Amino acid sequence: MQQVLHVLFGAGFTVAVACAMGALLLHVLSVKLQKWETALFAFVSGSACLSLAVFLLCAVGQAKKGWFLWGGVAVMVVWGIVNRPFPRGRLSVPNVPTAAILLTFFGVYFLTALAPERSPDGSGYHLGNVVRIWQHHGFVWDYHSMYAYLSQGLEMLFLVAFSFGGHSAAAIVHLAFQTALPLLIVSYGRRFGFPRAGLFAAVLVYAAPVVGLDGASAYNDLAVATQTYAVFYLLQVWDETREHNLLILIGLLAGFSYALKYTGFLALPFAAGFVWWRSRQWRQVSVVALAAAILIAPWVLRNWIWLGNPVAPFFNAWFPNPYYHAGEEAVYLQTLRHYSDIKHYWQIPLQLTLQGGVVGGLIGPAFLLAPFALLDRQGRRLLLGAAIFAIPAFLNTGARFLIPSLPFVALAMGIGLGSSRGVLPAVALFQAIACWPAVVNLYCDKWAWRISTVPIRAALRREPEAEYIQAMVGDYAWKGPVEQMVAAGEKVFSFAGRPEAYINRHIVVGYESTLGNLVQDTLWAPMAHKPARRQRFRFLPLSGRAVRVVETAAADASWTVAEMRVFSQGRELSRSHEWRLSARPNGWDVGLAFDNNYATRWSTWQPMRPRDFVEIDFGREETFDEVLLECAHVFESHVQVEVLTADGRWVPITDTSEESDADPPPGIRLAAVQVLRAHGIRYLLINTGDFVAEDMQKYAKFWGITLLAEANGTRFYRID
Amino acid sequence: MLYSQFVWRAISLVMAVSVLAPACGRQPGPVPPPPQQSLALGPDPALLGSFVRMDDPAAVDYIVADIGREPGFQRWAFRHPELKFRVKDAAGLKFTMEIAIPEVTFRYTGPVTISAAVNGKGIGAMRCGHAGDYRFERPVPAGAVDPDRTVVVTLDAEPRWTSPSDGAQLSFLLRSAGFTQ
Repeated sequence: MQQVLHVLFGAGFTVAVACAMGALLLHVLSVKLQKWETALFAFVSGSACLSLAVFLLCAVGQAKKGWFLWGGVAVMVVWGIVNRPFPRGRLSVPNVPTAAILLTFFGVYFLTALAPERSPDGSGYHLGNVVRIWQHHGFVWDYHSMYAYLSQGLEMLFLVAFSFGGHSAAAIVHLAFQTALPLLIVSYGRRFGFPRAGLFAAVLVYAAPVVGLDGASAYNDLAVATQTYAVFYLLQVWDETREHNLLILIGLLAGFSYALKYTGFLALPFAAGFVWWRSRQWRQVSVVALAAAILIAPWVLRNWIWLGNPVAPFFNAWFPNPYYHAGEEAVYLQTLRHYSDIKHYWQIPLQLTLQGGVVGGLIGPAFLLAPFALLDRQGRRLLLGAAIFAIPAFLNTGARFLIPSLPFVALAMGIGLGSSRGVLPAVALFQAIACWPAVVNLYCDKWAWRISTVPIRAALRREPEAEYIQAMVGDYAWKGPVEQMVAAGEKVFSFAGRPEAYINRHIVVGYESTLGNLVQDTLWAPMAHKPARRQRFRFLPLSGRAVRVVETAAADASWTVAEMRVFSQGRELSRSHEWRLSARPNGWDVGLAFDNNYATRWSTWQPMRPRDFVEIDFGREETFDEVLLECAHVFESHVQVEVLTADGRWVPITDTSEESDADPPPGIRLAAVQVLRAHGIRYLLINTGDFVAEDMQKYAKFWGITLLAEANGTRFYRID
Repeated sequence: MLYSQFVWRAISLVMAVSVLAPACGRQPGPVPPPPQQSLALGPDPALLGSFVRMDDPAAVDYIVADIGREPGFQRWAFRHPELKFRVKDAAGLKFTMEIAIPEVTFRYTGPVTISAAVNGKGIGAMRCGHAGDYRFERPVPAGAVDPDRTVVVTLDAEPRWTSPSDGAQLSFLLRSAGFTQ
């Protein structure tokens, strides 16, 4: 029970500090809001302030419990001193039946959040980032994973909660945003003259199964949805009151939406566009943009300085960097936006509302009535907002990417259906019953992401935490073996992501970084792409300061070179330290084509394009008559050799090669693990379904690895 | 006003940063060659056997030429597919393979004749008159194969499907091949 108290204190303290900061901000800005609104906007705007403050502590390596505790206490003391009483008025319960429904669902969500974290991304990178930052008291600049590059505005709040209450405290902070959302919807309806539609929309959104589990996990989608809705809300208030300082608040919240998740960036153009549309004054728009920049700039600058890419891990083709390949980014994004197992588009509405197995969750059957939102003019305007905030759903097929648009759809439905007596309560009640966990289980897909049971015993820690996590997160079984056998500082490689929030070691994942890509590619070399193809370019002896091989074809495949060798009269020119090597693209890896290791290769890591090249500058004039490329078969590739002449011109010499096949020297498996060892990777977690799994099992001694343990379809190897 | 003066100064700063930011993606400079790795690391497993399925992790070691490298239970055989094997006992050998003629290529090629040669000696042909799965099985003439020596099997399909865009040729899908007794 003591653990539960720690969790509650961690989450409660974080939310309280956020509320205090927000109340102070509202006080400074002298923003006039109604009673409910003041409390809700104090939380959402204070969260932005607290997130920024924690970011700054992380940037200077001072993210420590003491700063959080005493800093938080100081904020609350200051708030107590300057506290303005809440605006006058009755703090009324919105509507008894609605409140009963919302409270009932809140109970389910609260117990789910209070139980140990077991969501895939929560136990993976969301809290994995938090744990790593917590252990190092700040950002870990030498850790590279695409997930570490994302904006982590909510993780900053998680960090405060985690420092007092562990993983579950972080999830409860997200739950606070989830709870604020229906209250904002109700409050909005009351303020703008459609209270019944507001109550209706609050139930529809809050009861949605994907909203329930997402908001009760250490994710960030509900925080984004709440912030973007808060931006929309304040824009309407500003439109009514034209209070200038509201624009600052709107900008801050729009900026915080980006800080929470890149997809939240939409809040800024939405707000800026709205302000310009209603005022036609660029000055007003610039106030919004500038205030937003306060919350956006820290993450942009962090990535820009750290990685050379302000929007990492995206747009790597625009901002090339040695940490994440543009081609791998394209593959990743393609995977996210691809519907698997969808044969017809009409399946998508059914998947989203009733089944949820293919789209990662469902929003409930009441949303099948969404076309009724078109009945009213105001509803149609709200749908425009929904369309804007649904844009990320075109880039990611997960149902949770639609969450920010749900409040708009639900409100529009409420307005559209509101004229028919009794319809709103009936539909809301239907959604509440249909979305109750035990009822959802009756009709949704078995694998739909949802709360299927309420983990009361686990929440109250009557069931041991480790047992519960083990039952829910299969890979948790590796926590003990990995932490016992892998020394701190040593790395483990895995093709698949692991629950890094629980396994306290550095796990390099194949698809998450250039290092992961290199290791994955190297381990695949013996089976998938032995460099057995030899392209020999012969020409009359010539002298030049530099030589390069240039791709002349364009194709979707990558162009790769395992080894590039230069010969004179049949003798290879030895690779001198005076040589200078370069390549485009992916010049950082050019050494892999000159390391004499047949398990590694330089690759474009993106579709081959004409003028891609690998170049040797000899540092002096050299005479040579042959260039040899050893590589895997890539039929689309067509290469020409060019030489740098004394007058500084690149002259094409030949594009005709003699092609032959010859096995590379033996020991390619050992050559592969040598690369891993050089990068500090001493252990492997291999799933039985991984491409190399069977070969590693059959030929462990040829790989130079020893099986340490096997469980749940995963093998744990040590590199000898 | 709370925001009147500093707003424009700050906007200028943000604009300047925005303009400069895209210019600052990192570009690598030329580098010297890395340390050279030894080529004498040790043996590979004695992978070659008398029979291989295409989804075997070691299948690529049996491929000499013109068979797809992408892993899978079947692989494309291209223009002049070649495989290599090693048998321990050469007596009473049969060469067998399981293949498929896909509808998509058959539509253009019509009936396909597939022939096989072991160490350059023809062992027979098979006519595939429709799209679908086939099993090729022919005895190997005595003396064509030596035990514990690499045996090269060459396959040929006529006609082949030819890509109109790049001229690449597809013969059939190979699932398994090798020697049985």
